[in-house]
Amino acid sequence: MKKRMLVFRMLVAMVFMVMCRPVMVMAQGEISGDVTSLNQFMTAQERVEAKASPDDSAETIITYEVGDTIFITGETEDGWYIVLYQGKTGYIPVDVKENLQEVNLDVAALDAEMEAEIAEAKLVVEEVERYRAEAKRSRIWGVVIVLLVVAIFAVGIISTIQVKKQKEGKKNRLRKNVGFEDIADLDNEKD
Amino acid sequence: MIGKMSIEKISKIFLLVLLGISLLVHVDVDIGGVELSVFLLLLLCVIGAVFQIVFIYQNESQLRSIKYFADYVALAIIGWELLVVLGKLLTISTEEKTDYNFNILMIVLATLYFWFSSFKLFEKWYLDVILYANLIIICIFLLCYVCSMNFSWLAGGMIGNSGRAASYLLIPCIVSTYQYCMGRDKFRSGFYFASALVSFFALFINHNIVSFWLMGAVFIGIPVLFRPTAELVKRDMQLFFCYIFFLSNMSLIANYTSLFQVPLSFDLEHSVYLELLLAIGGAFFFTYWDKIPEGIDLNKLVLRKMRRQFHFLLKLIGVLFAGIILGGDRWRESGEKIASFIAGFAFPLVEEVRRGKSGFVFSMEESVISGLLIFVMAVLLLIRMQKNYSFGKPQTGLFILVSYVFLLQLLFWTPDAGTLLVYFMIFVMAAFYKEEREKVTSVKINFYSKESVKDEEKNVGF
Repeated sequence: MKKRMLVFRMLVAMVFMVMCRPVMVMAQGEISGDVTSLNQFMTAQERVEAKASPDDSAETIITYEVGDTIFITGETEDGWYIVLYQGKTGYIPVDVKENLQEVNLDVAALDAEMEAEIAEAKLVVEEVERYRAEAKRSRIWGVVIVLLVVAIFAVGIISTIQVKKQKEGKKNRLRKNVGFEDIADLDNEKD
Repeated sequence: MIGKMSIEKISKIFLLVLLGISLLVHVDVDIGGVELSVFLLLLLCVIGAVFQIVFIYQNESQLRSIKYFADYVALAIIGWELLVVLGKLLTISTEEKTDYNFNILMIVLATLYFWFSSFKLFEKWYLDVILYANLIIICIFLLCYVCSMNFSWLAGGMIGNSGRAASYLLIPCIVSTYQYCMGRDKFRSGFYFASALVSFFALFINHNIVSFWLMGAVFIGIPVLFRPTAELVKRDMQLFFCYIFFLSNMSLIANYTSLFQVPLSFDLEHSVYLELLLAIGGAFFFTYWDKIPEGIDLNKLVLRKMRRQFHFLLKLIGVLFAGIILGGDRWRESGEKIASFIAGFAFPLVEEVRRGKSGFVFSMEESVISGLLIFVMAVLLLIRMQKNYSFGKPQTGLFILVSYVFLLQLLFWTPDAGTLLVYFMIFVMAAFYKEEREKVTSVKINFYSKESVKDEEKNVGF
């Protein structure tokens, strides 16, 4: 029984591998087989148009004017440059190369600029965080101050009522026990 | 016909509205050359005058007859200011903005003088009303300075003007201190104590050095002006120690926490000196306090000797304060160590005095005749106030204390209209309020020193 199960599992695995192979081959071809990676910046010397697919009759999706910078990510085997512009992928025929001028990039300077940008962004983030913390702290203090003043108000009002009640109680006791004259004295009494 | 009770009720409501407008309206809004608070006060004054005319017509008016010299001066102020306003109205120009604030405020104050001076009964809860109204504005004040919330639309006349704010904040400081010192009920004392602490805090945030000195003088002045029972002195000193302790620690709060949203400059070195002063003062006070025998009722024990010492201290503070201000820059210019040490304290105070404009100078600048009339009025009221003072009149004592603070303030800055009205009301009442004297019988007791008591105990054989 165990042997039969093992053979069945092996068969299933083999069928799965056979079925997956074309997909894997297709994927490998797309990444490294058909396209050569370039990652290069070029400047357009004349007007250049990028197509939606590597086909002359395809729709034009990007138009580069003279002086525009073009980012070429790779080159296909059938003679097309793959370009990237604002999230769109376009195709330019390799013959247009005459109209493109290579941009010499100072990598070190770019790295430094990038680092400076990151540092600045960090500062902005820190500033925003500090501002948020301050705003939060201010809100907390605001609540504390308002609560404190309200509490003082409450103590004042409650104590006034209490003093009045105590006076009334004393008056009532005196009315019962002593006489009317002492009540007049009580009115003049300090709290 | 309006009954007597109704007149009293109307008067009370009128006073409450007057206090409410004076203490709560600090909006910086201009209505045709008049501030909103001044305009409201004028409106109220006119309504009050109409009521008084009705009362006079019905022979039920509570106003006293005109008999004092100050009354004629008040009438002269009203007449003169009306003439000035009339003159301004006739020569009104479209290019320049005409300001009627001062003139109308003077008319309002001089008119209300007759009503304030006729007050027969000042109830204790009026002081509580003042305190409650102040607490609302203090809350706004603290929210502005601690939470950087913008309430300038609500208290724009006060926030940002150190002198005006100091005048306003000194009222709750003095009233709550007085109420705490005079209070018998524990719970109620807690309320006054908390109010005093919050007011002190607001006063320190405002950072007006002259107001710190004035409040310090108030603490020393309380046992001098009122009957110095041991209980009163104890409570006064409790608050005074809290005040100094709070003040000396303000540098720590300002420099080492990010509590305040406005830059406050409290010197750390000065804080140390203040704390040393507090420790020395405490040592003297407790040595004296130790002589009071246990079990004695502190409300019935009057410390006359201590009163004399407080009186001396008050004079000393006055001389020191005047010396610092009059000395001015000379303290800094002198090369001596002690002079430069004093200069550290003196210079910020001198600078502040220079920045402010005296209320008397301000009124003189507006019009020389107005200034002179106001000065004469102040002198006359001061003379009457001194005649009215007695040891057994606690409420009059409070009015006198506030009046002194008011007059001293006027030497350094000008309060805003609402605050000025409250101070003026108290000043007039200090001069005219007829309070019944407390009936007190006293017996002089000489306490034994501790050693002599011990010797006696040995002799008797305890």
